[in-house]
Amino acid sequence: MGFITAMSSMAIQLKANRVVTGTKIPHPCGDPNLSAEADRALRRTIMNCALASLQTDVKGPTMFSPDVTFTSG
Amino acid sequence: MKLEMATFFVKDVRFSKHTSYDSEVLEINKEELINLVLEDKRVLSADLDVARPGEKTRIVKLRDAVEPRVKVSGPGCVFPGILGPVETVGEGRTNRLSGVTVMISSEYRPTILSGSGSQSSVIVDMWGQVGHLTPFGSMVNIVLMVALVDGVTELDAHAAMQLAEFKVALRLAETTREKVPQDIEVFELFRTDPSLPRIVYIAGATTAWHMPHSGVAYYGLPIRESLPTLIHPNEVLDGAITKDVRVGTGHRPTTWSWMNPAVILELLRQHGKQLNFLGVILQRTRFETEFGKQITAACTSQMARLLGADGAISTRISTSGNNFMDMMLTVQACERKGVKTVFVTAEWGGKNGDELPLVFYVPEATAMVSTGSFERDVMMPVPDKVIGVGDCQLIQLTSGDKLYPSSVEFTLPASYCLLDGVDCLGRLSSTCQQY
Repeated sequence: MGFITAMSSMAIQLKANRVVTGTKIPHPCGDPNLSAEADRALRRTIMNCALASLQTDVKGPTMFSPDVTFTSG
Repeated sequence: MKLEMATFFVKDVRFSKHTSYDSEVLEINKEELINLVLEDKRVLSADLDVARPGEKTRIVKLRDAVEPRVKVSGPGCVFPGILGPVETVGEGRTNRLSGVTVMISSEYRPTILSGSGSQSSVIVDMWGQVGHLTPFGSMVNIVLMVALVDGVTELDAHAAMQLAEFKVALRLAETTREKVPQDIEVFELFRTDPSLPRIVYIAGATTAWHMPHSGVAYYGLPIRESLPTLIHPNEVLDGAITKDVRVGTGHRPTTWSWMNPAVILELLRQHGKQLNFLGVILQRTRFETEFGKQITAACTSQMARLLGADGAISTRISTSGNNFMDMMLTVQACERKGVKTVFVTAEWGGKNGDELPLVFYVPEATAMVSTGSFERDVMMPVPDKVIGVGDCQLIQLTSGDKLYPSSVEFTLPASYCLLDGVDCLGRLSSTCQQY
């Protein structure tokens, strides 16, 4: 199972196997501040990372970071 | 900056024709105080009652409590930015009535009906076991009961309810103006022995950017996504930090608790004796990305290092796991910069104490103080009297929550259903034993 969350280091501590870093706690899988097009591209990036994590063998909790630039806290 | 805190003890409160203070008794003219509250056109009706320790009295629909204080000399006023202009406070003399509070039990028609931004209320019992779970069971509480007119916005509701309690508290403290206090304590961060350990206090303050009021205000300004701010501890004692009065919850300290901040008071008292108190870092927490959390941790720890701190004591408000992570990362960042840090926090642990007490940890958090679990059930016995605004037969604490019958026995799911039921600022009234 892959787990998309903005609190990824907490998920690692809780022993989730495949942790995918999401954008933000209220919206881990996108960003409503972006245009519809840019939001769709961002969601695709995160989902591709999550799908890639499912195809990767892991030995214990592992972090997968999508290629996303963070600009807000 | 030298602040003289002059204390006038209150053993009892009596209704009278005049509002006055003498020989540890506060006499109040109920009509005068009610008229003061009714001056605000947002207030539909107001009433007032008194609850004393030991009485089998339950107070419901509570949102906040405040200690009566008045500035008698020096710049500004108590609650700067709210009761007067913005002027840096913490100097001169402040008179306080000790052992008495002004509480607000209130209702209005909310426009936010669900979620974390909605209004809520809590309970206080004046006797028995539940009376010991909040600081208010051992004090005389003057309970203001206020209903607002229809059509107020959420922020207006906060402002009207806050103004009602602050104005009444100020009027009561005014009675001490010409009187001789029983005690004067002087708080000052004077230059001291350089060999004493240099200690900073990190006050974690959870705020939410998306709510009408963010949750915590500095000089009346709700703090939103700010980076840490360095403030003088005396400012806090003069009411520089206040809260969203709409949200009555044991998760967050009352204004009373912010005016009596346990860690700040003890650090001030030990300044020049055991330690050198450097100041308070007011740290906004509850960032919504790990990126943001890392930045607040980096910035706060850097501020501590620039102050030359040897050690830090940190507390947090709100029991959310979100802000817990910010605080833990701050402990880590401080320790890595050579600032030894003690983290004071309430814990989870579940109903029976056999669940995870902490949701996140860092190996650098080697010294922590627990202020107890907030997840235990609270058994509420049958009261003789219930005080609260409007109809108090059935009470609802948060929007969408179930209704509790206030005058029969019932069980609350956690201590955060009581006013200051979670010890956020480290007053440590709870003890534990090994078994």
